[in-house]
Amino acid sequence: MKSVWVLEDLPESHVWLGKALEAVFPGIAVQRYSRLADALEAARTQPPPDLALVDLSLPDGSGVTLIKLLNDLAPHTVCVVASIYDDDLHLMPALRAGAQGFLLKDQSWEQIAELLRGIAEGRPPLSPAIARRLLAHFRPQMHNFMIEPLTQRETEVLGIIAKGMTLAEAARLLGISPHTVSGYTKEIYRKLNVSSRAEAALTARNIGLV
Amino acid sequence: MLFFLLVPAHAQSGPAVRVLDQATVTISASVTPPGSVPEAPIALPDDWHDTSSTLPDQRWYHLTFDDGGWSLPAIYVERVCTNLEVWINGQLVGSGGSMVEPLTRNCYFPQLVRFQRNLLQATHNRLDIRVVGYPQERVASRQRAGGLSQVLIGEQAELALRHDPRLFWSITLAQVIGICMLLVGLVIAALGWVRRQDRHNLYFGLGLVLWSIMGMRLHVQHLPMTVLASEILFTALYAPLAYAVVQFLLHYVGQQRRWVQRGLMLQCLAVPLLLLLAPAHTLAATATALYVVLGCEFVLSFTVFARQSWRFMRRDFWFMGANLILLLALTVAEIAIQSGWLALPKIHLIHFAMPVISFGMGLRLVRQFARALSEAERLNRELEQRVADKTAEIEHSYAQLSDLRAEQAAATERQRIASDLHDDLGAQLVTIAQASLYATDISRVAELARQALTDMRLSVQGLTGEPTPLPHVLADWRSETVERLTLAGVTVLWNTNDPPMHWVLPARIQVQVTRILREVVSNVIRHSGARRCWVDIHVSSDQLRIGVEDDGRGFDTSQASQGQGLGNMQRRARVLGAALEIGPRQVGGTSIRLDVALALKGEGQATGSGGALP
Repeated sequence: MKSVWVLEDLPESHVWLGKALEAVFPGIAVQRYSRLADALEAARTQPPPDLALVDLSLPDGSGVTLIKLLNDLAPHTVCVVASIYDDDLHLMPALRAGAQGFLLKDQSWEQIAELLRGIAEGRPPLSPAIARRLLAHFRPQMHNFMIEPLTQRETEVLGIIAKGMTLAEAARLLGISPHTVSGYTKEIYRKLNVSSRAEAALTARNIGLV
Repeated sequence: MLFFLLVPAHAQSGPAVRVLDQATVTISASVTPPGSVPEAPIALPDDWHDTSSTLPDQRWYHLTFDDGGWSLPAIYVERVCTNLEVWINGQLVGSGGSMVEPLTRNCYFPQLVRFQRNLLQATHNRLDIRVVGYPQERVASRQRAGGLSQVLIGEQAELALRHDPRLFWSITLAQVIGICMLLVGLVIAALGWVRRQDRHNLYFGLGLVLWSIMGMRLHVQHLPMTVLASEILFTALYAPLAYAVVQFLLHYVGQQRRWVQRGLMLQCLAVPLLLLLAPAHTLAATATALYVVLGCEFVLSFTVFARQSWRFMRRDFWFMGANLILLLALTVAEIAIQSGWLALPKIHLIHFAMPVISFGMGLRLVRQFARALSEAERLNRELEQRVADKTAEIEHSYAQLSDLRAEQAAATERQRIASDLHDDLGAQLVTIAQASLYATDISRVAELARQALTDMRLSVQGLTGEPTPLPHVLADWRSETVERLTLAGVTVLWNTNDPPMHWVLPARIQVQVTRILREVVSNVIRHSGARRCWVDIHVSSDQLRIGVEDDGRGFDTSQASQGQGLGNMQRRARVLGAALEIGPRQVGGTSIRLDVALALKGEGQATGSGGALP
């Protein structure tokens, strides 16, 4: 991780997140934005960052817009939601837009550092509530062919997380390495994003945009 | 109908038809025309009276006639009872059937006998008619008494014009009517049978069936029994007929009496016995007496019927009354005929009038039945309509009620959030404000603020989130607790039972218990120094039990911050009406127990949860 954008309207949070970033990725270049419009403009004109920490509720819109745009323009940018809410209702739209993780701005400095490290290493976080949402999203017959189905193992991982167990416990229960479990969760996020894009495309075609 | 009935009686005799009404008669058992036996002159028609024999009587009628020049000659006998043979000039030319018992019964069958004209001489042709039958005293009805009507001789075609209508009116039509009556009777009886409250229909139908059976045997020529036996059998049938008629009348007006029914049943047994025991030659007299008795019963029951229907069912009175009076008149006429006070009519009147009357009455009964059925259907429709109205009404009130409940639920929820904000967030902000001024450790302020934020998140979640099924709540608790403790280097041993998915924890309880659990975990992390922590959660439909134990330093309330945390926990437990016990663990460490009363019964959970009602 060489460069990071932080889209955040509170100056104190900028400082706080900057400290955590510096600790995890020493020497990282931090570009700060406090308005959504500025960040969107930058995304269109400037080279994309390796990492983006995005607050959801901004004075001039929702951070999900930026996540969507970055996901389209720069698929390699890792988008992480930094918010004060970690419940599934707030997070699902961002995850569907392509966010690969989330952290709470009020979490302890160590927790944030640990989460960021995990995300950078391909271990996205997964709460039971999110896991339940994902299970419902990927439930067979619920939707249509647009959804790339989960494999049996991916479903098992989600089921175990949904019961409140940690990734490590899931790995032990399934008899696989924690690394493999992380791989599954990453894949699940990817499928979620892919299906969301497919749905969006279909919707656009149906209403005559494309 | 009457017009048609009269047609055959008034048919004009053509010139080619000759009426023979003078004969001589010989009582003889001979099977061929007797020659020299003295013969008594007699005028036709001739009705037989008593002889002492119990065997069928046999008489030879001798008539003479001149050739009328007919090309196809025939003899027409309008009535002969019970059977005849016709001989012309010593030659047998025709027979009505069996001349010995069981006799062929031709009393109601007109006879047309054709013969070859080459048997005839120009003048003084000899016509012998052999008649077998029983005199009037030994049969129950005059119609079946032995006898011979006038004899007509003439052109076959001419006579057929008299014979065929007569046969149609007295036999074919009577048979058709009889079958119809039988069917109608069966239908009405079936109606009465299936509907116990319409018992009178059963009796009416029974009466019709009996009557049609009794009527139809008149038109059957061959019965496997002697005339005497059939007379007794069919006369005995009048007793059940009376039973049916009287019971019908009494049931119709709701005046049935048990003793009447018993008496009528007894009569059904007594009449056949009486007829069997009576001397054969008194059969007619016995039958007439029986008719009078039955007639009286009929009149009596009719009187009861008339009185009751006059009082309570005026329309029925006029209709049924008219019919029954007609019937009464016919019965009286029949008795008169049988007693010889009236001449024997050519048509058996009662057998035609009865069906007409019965049909009328039967139609009325069926109409009544249909009307009752329509009425029932109408009532049923009304009832359905009323049920539908009521259902709509109830649904409406229910909708109102559920709106009200939703409002109440919303109000309760607002109250909860208000008290959350005021009691928790407010108190925490006050603490932060004070701590930021006087606290020496600024990180303490940060921690307090983070706690406030966490609690606020929970409040908001309770506000915006869907009600969470209990298993999901447990999963969230587990995830958070294990993550926090593991991060702090404490090994967690988590143990819960498996509540069903449809159990939903009221939001208020979920929020407060979550906070208590968080506080407990915070204490374990901050103060206990424990290496292991045991969490046991057991949910039943009426209780949520949470036990947390650790192997740390043990319980110590002397520390101010810990004391404050405990106070918070106690306050939250009080809000829930729950019991919170904090004490030392026997083998070292701290033990905390929280018991919350629940009411997760029935389908109430599915609805109650949405409103977040306690």
